[in-house]
Amino acid sequence: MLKMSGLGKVYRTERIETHALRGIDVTVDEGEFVAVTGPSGSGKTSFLNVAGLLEDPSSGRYELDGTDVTQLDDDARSRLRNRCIGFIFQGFNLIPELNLFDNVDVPLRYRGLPAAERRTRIEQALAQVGLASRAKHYPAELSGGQQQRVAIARALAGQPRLLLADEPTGNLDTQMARGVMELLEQINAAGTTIVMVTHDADLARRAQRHLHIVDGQVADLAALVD
Amino acid sequence: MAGYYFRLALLSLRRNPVLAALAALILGIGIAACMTSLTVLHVLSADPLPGRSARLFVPAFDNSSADRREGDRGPALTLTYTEVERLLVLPGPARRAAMYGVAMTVKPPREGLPPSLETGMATGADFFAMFEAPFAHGSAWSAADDAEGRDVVVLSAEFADKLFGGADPLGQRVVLRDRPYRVVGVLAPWRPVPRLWRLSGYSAIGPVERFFIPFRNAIVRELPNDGWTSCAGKREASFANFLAAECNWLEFWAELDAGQLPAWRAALDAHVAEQRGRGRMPNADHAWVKTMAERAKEFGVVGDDTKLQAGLSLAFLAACLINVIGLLAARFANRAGEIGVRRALGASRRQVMAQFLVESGVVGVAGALLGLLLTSGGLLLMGRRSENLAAVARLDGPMLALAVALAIGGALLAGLWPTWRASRVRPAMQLKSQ
Repeated sequence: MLKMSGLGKVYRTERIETHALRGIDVTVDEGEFVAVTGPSGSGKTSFLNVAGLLEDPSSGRYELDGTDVTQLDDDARSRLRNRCIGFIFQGFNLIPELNLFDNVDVPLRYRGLPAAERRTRIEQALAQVGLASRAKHYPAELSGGQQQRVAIARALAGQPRLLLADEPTGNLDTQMARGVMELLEQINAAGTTIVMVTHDADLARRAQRHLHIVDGQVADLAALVD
Repeated sequence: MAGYYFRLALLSLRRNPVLAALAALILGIGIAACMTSLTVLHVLSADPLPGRSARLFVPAFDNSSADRREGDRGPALTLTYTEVERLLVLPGPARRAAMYGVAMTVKPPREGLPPSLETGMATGADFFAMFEAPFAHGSAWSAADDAEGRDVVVLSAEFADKLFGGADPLGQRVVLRDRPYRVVGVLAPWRPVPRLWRLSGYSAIGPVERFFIPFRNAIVRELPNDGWTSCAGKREASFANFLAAECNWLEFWAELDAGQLPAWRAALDAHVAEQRGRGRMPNADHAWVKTMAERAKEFGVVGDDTKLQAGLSLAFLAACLINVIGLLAARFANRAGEIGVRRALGASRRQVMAQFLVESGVVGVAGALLGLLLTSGGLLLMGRRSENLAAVARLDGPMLALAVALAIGGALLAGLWPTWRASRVRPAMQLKSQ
């Protein structure tokens, strides 16, 4: 599903050069649930941004679903991102002036799906996260946990093969976090590959595999199979 | 996607209406300032007789004296009576009309109205057909009336209404300078702009003359010119001597098909040669033939101040657009978070640009509507200052289209840079900072 070889990411300003990723080699197979951990500033988010085609790698090779993404232009990368990847962010990142229906609709619009199919997918996705009856509500009218479920519905509606989650429970209390985690596990069980960045060791343990990043390098790669 | 972007634009405008309203207002003011002066320029530059103006010509001659300095030589703006007499019989034109202004005391036929001094024009019967004057009643006088210089008159619609009220004026008598004239025609309301047939001493945006009498009639009655008169040397005391003198005061129009023009030019040149043989026109070796557009140009119908005003208003519009750029940039900068989300969810840079260009276009439409409203107000105010200005202060279809195109085009142009910047937002940065 995802294969990084000798991948590096350098952020440059006029005076400072920061090596966020230093030649990492990572492979994530189809259907895996991988947790990415590491201290703050270790390169976890950079890894996720490059994996999600939000940032270009500075060096190395990255193949997503068999495609060398370093060779793609912005249009092709955007299409691939739209078709293959779903995102869940710590801050939910819903668009406040759109209701839940329209928020979930955003990735489907860019895919150019017909209206009827979009409607079906949106209703199914909202039903899957238990918010079908709130489709016309606005994000500000929901709790944090509900907002994160909408973000998950938005990711699910596109039927992505890879779900990238950046601290998906970081802004939620324990009970809500548990609910979101159970939802992610269900999604993974249905066949979607998940890569989740987290600080929470307990959540990381629930993943099938644990990837630890320190100073931009993969420090330890161990299978945590229960 | 256009419908989707349009809906997003409306949502966005509803969310943050202040900046959008300010941008639309600035755009509207710029459009209004620009359109007000461009409208005047457009009306004055317009062809008042499309389809016919290309067949109308004005002859011109250089009858300056031998001692005239080199730089002052060239064709005079108006003609002498000697030239006009010749032009009236020279073969070629399908229609022709000499003309000059006459001011006469008019004694109204109705009881209770005091006599008034009115301005009219002495001309030929062909004038009405050449300049497409519309008749409400009757018609132009006959060729025989022209030849005989009979006491007949054509009235403007407003003047006929003043003199006769609702009564039928045809066949009635109007006393012009103590002599009764029979009314043979009444024009329909007519306000061509620009009116280019008689420009010496008369405004191109002025109203149509109040009455028209045969040219020959005015000459026989020795009616003086109510306009510019330029004589070489001392002005003659008697009218007969004035007619024979080197005095330029008459205007003349001829209607010719393109095929007739070379022969007519040759005939005019022959007239110059003949006059040189008689000791006149020492500085001329040919005649000039001017088109309607050239005539308008030499009289400065579109004045330098009008052009300057139009230029300044375009500069003002540019300044407004620069302000709109700033406002749109501020507006779009506030939306970096949304852009980041959309990019993460699969929007390409081009799609982000399209979304924000549509939003700029919606601001442009609002600016266009506001601009049209302000333009209409500006033109209304301008029109209230004088009847003449009211004639030029009117928006027509092409100018309406130009106003809308300017506003939307301007807004899209102003939105290009902010939109491009918006499309360059790094989604990863925005998503983390949300």
